[in-house]
Amino acid sequence: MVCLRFNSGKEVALYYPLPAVMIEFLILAMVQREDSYGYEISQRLKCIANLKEATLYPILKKLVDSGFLTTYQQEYQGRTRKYYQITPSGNEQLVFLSLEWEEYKKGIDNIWKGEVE
Amino acid sequence: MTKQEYLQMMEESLTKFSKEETAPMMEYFREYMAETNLEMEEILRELGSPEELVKDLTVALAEENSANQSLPMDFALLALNGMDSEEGSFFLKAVYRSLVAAFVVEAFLQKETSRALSADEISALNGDLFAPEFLGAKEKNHTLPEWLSKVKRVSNKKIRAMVRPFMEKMQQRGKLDVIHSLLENDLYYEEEAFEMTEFRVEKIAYQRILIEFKKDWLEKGMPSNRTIALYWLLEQNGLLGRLFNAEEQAICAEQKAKRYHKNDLAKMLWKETVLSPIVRLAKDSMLKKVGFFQTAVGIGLAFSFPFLAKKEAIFIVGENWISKTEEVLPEIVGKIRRKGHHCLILRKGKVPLVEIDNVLYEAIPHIRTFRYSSVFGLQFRRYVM
Repeated sequence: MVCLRFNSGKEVALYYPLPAVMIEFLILAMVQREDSYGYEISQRLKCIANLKEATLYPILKKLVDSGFLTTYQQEYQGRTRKYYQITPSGNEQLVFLSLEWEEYKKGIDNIWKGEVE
Repeated sequence: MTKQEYLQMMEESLTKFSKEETAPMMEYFREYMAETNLEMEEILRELGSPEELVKDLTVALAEENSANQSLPMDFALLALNGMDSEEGSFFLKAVYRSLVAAFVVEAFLQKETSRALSADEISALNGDLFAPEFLGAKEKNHTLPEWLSKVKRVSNKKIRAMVRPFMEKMQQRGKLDVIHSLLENDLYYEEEAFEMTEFRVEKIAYQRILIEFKKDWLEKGMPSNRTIALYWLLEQNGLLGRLFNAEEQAICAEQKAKRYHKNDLAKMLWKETVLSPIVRLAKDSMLKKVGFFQTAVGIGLAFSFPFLAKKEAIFIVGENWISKTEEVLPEIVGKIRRKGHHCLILRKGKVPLVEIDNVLYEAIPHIRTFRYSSVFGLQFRRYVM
């Protein structure tokens, strides 16, 4: 697993907080690439922000309840993992969120770099 | 403490939750414990004590839930979707006032509708998102009809102040967005580089509420009190025509007549209206007017509110000169998407059916004269399934 920053060998999360909608975006993106399970998702997100499990759980639940993700169980070394898989409407949501993110990023860059469109 | 003990203590603290809620939660954290290589000391730093974890979960899940189901939320989502978001508009004022009524009714639905409630109770029952002291008399208890008549009389300025925290919360939670109006894509408005904004609500929540509400109202038995109150609010705002098709509207009226005398809440609510008669009359006839799509813009009431009539049928052209529906449709959809709208083609063919920001439109091929030449485009007309 690749983390973004290291400080004397210890992983350090980024300074900016991660809002819920961004977490949804990242989860959908991760799961679209490859089905994943709760622990893996949480570890990857913790690379970039101080994220509590108590925050992550309701978001995963919401994504499932909203029909963006489905789950299935799979055995792994004698224990069961709950895998998350993206649905067609989840894919649709991901497209929307990625377009929104591009816009957002552009807007931020425009301001701090002083770029004019 | 071992991981096992941690999980056991956690499970014992989950008393506030039902079995259905507890099981997946425990499953999640059992999996976490099985996967992690951390020592208990680090786990405690990461998750907090079992009690702290349960407390964090309770708060996080309650936030999600409280935002999910309540009369104000349901009404706001159904009423605001696709609506002009310009503060001070005629429509928005009426919806805001109805929203305040929804807060009051919600509190009474949670308690008993025959009781009298104080401002503080009403506020607490709405998760402190609403400050009824703007309606006056903080300590005194009032019955539901008394509160509703207060809502009817209070100034628009106070109404706006009362709904602001709720509206802000809706936006923070992603339930509500303010986006560019679809009308900006209309050929005539595009030429003027006209700017206008409208509300768009979260799709999943909108669909769920709409389906449940329609089902509960149209089915034979007595609907829930919440559904009755929601119908009452939507009716006053003249919004039923946007949610029910003609056939369903006939059933609606029948259902209302049948239920009116059998349900105490219905009897009470239909005696009260929170919007003044003039507002209702104007809104009613306006919406009836725009209900007939063919009505020429510029006649009667539609003339005073041209945006409204216009918005029901928007004429959009492609970038290039194409006169085939199947070729121009993707181009137009692309154009709309680039403006930030959610757009899905539900049906292709001669008259395609398109969903834009939770609203259905029939895209009717059309030729218009614009600046002395003929222009081919699609006229997007609202459609109720």
